[in-house]
Amino acid sequence: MKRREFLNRIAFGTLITGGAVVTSAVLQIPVPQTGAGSRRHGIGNINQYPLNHFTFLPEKNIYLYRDRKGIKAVSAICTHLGCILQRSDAGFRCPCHGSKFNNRGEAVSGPAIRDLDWHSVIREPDGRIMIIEDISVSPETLLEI
Amino acid sequence: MTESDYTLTGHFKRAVIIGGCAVILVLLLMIISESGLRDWERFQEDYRSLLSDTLPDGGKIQIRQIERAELQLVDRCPTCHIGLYDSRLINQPLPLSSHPGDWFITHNPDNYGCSACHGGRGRALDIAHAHDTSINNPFLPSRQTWAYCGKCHLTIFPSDFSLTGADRLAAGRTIFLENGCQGCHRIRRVGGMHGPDLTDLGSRTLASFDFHNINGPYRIEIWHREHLRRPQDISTGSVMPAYHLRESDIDDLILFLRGQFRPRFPLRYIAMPMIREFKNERSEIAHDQLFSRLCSGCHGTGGMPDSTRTVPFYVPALANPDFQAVASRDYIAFTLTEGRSGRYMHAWTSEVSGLIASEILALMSSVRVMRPPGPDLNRIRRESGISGPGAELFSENCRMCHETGEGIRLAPNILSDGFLTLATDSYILANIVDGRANTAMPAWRTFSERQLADLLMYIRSQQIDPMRPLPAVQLNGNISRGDSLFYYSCSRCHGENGAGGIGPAILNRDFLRMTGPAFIVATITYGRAHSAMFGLSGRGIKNTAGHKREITDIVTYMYSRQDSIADYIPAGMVLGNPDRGKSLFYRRCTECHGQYGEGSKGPALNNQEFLNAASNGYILATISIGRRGTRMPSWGRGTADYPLLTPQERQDIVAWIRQWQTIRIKRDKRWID
Amino acid sequence: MPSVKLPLSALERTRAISKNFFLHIHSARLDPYVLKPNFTFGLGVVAVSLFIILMCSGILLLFYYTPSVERAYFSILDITYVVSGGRFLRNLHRWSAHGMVFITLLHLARVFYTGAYSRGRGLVWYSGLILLILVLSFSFSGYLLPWDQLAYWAVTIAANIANATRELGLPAYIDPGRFVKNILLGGEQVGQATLTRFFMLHVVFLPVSTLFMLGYHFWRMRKSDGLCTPVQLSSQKSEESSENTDPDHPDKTKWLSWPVLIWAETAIFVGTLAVVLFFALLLDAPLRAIADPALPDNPAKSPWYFLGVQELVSYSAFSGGIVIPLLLLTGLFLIPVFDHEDTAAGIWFSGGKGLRITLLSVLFALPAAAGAIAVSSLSTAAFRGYTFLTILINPGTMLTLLYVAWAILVGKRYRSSRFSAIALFTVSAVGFIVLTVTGIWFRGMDWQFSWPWGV
Repeated sequence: MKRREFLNRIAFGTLITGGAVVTSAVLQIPVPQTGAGSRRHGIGNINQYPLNHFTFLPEKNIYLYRDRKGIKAVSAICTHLGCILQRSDAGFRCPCHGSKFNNRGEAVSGPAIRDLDWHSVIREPDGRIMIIEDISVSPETLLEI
Repeated sequence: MTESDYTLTGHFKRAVIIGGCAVILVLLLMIISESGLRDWERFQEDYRSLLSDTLPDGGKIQIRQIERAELQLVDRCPTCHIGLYDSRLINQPLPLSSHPGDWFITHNPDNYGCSACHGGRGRALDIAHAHDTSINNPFLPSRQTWAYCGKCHLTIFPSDFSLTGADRLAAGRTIFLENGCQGCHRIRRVGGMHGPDLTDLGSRTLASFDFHNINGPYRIEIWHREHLRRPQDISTGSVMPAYHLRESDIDDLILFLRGQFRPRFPLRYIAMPMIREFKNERSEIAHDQLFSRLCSGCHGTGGMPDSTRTVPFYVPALANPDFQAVASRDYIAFTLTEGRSGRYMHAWTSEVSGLIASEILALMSSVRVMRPPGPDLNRIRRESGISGPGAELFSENCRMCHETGEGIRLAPNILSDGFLTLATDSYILANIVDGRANTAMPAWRTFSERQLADLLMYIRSQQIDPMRPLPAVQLNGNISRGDSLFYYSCSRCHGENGAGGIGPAILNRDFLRMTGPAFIVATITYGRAHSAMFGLSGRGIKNTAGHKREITDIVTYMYSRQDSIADYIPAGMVLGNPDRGKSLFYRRCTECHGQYGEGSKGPALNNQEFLNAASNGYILATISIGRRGTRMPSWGRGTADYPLLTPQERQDIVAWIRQWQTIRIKRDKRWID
Repeated sequence: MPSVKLPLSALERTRAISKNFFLHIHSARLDPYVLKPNFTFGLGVVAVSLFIILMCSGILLLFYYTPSVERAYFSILDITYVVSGGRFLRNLHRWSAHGMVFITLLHLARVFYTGAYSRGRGLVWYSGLILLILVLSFSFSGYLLPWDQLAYWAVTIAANIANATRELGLPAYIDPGRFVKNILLGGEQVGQATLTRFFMLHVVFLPVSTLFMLGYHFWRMRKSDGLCTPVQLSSQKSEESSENTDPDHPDKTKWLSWPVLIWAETAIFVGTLAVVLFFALLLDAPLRAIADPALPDNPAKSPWYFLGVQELVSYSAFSGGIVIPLLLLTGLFLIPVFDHEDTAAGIWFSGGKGLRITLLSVLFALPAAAGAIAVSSLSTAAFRGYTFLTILINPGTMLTLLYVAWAILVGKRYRSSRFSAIALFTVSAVGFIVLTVTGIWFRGMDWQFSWPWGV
């Protein structure tokens, strides 16, 4: 009896383990490999961005501001539900639920309560200027030009 | 089973009967509405009875469609428009009539489909859905079909445009270009930034237009019409002026606007010139059209703003003769290429505006050309002038800077012998009429020949000694010695870069060009009596060969600098007292220019780009001569309401204004010629 | 031609029922009480009828629909304009789908108010709740398939609601909302991956799961003696053993399923079919412009059954989008756990007192919900930067607390878990309806309050 019981246990155990492995493998399949795209963005020639103006970068969902002192980059994604912000007279507004932000990225009214993320703008050693989305910086951090 | 079972079952059976009948009825109605009663079947029947002919394509009453996979369209238009190809039906009412004109020769529907040119929902089979105007590629009624020619044929950059049969589209294009719309609205990478990019305007759907302030029907054409009539009411926050166009012009313009498309069809469908424009190989804009295309929207046609179509912000009149008198080419180039921060004038460099270098330089020339030409100097004879009126002219226009009495002088004494014995008539006239760039000497172009002759006569009448001969000069001196000599001897009065200070600007290009080495050598040698310019002769200083060599070195150095371009526009030395200038400014200038120079009725003077573009001389000249036709009085002459400011006061105000400059902006050397 | 001999005697009929593959989901005999129209309103049968109609119309639509972002919209156009009867087929499918969600919710309410989850029917209730989730998933996955502006932005918004945990600012790898959103969308944005997934769900996974679950639901019901009828009748049953399907020992107090129940179900099916066909004939399913990711709808609204949640989300993303809906679902699941009183099971509102409590609860819930919506238009400037404060204190959570307080009050006053459950269910339902109605008709651009008849 012992052997039968032993065999039962082994067979059962193998089934369970195999099942668990198969299940976990299968569960991986629907998870998308979101090629979320690179989180570092080159902005190209700085002169193409007009001065004293928030330029929208469509693929990256970032607003870039350039003035005589330098450049800064703020996220264009509403902190409420992730809709893309549009410009308004005094800052940004979200078309989904009407959240409003000022030019410093602070949430002013509407359902959004977190302020906008400002992104780090750095100059690479080869001279290119990059926006790094992964690094959040304090509001209105400027890269001097 | 009890009695009640049967009753209840009976109820349900009855319910099934009623429900079943309802189902059958509804299905019957559906079948009926789908067979034989549909419009397109009627039309095909009409065709058949009209021509007692079989229908095309086999004669059955069926759906007919044109499929063009590469254009991504399936057009079922021939299902209703059954007579499309049949020229016998030319006089029939729609939809049986054949297609008018000879369009099929060049645009055969088998190659192009129908909805490419007419819009609409090709897949639909009833008129409401097929002629839908609210979808992407909306249907255009026949009087507007020309707009869709733009999908393949429209070019923006050549001077003219003609397309057989599309005259109204071409007319709309002309209206667009002449009114300076491209100055705010970018098209195909060229244009300004204040309005939305119009490159793909024709493909915008109805839902993307904001109809909040429009009371009419919900159609794209209505939006455009209302927007062109009163843009600031329709688009909140817009500064676009109302252009007061005629209705027919608006119609044509709407065609043009709705004809803006990116190429979406395979390239062999698109006209080559249009392909080139999108591949960034566009033709260069004709230089004489640049200003009207890009600037006239704000600055007015020919540089004079039109009072009927003003923008709600201050815009200088570029063709104003007083502006043109004081603005140097450097000033214009700098303002054009750096813009004005915080104002609507943005930088018109290649990266921002899409213009190429030759176009930008041509734009600068277009502005310069607005300067009045002035009289022909060769025809002026001093002898014909009368001194009396000349004296009046001198008092009126020249004395305010070339003050001959006591007190500070803003400009050299041109009535002194030291000057007059060396200056020829043509030299004096050239100075008056061309001025000196970046100094306070304006270019006086509004004097007539007569007036110039009088002025010249008067000036000459002040000369006592006869003309002195100008020496022969060869520019063979040692430049580096000349450099250090200049630095030690000349720059104290003439400014570090010869940009002027106590003495006039002498490394000024205009000066060097007009004056000539001989005059300069003579001036250095003899000096100017009763001024700070001491000479190297007279008073016992012998005119030795060593001195001669030094003078040659200095002058050689000066002319070696003639073509050098400084990094910054030379402002010149500040000679006034800013504190006095501050109180003067508060008393006299803030009414129009704001308490901190931020501008209200008058332009902003504390703008950094302005301060970098304008030399002290520019500011001084503007204050002194004013700007006719505007509210800026001539403070050098004085009026009843605005009494004159003395030269010292004007210098003080300039010093105060200069205090507002906080940054120095380097000139972009690409735009200097 | 083979002769079909219809069973006539009671014995033959009971045998037909119990031995036929399709019919044996019914019991051979049934309690007459269950056929009273004002008892169940036939809602369950209507739901199954709609499901059958949806399956059939869906299969027919499958002949022409293409789940690719370039072709989906145009295949719908072709169905509408070219396919014979295509317009009606599509309308039929659409209105049946809306009806399905609506009827399922009504059925849920009916089962709750008659207390039919008690007396051992807990598993029926759970399987029913799972079916509710499946129906909502069905409707949601089908909503995207036409790939027009309505579809695209509805799904975008709903996915963003799932992503409401972003408000907490969690790092990406442990953010469950983000995970759910990515799984749903197959990426960061609605695109081809989303369409493929939703199509697979709508056409394979959900039908199979629903059929399976329906089978279990019916089986469980059969195991619990059919529909839950009031006690006084079942006291008669308790003398006999549990459901007697033995055709040799019939319980003669009950009706034969054949013919009564068969005809009843047929009548309801035909009636449902007639009604939805009528709608399909008269009303066209909406189809707006083709989906344009660059042109957001404003206001962008999720499907109507999610608009209550979207309204809550406009107060606070995390609490309104995740916490409160989860609480609702959990509450529903836990009802049989907390309510053990089954004496009044099968009676609407558990009697007159229950009816009074229901009405009182409605009267309480309506102004409370309206008040919450009014409060929501106040400025939240004071909460700037205090994320957790807003998550805790906002009109949604306040309303929830109010309702829970009401339910506890009622429970204490009447010392009954059933009445407490009735109170809680009623106020939640009314609140949710008010929020949904607001979301549908009273929210305009930028989600600002606006009257439905235009300004």
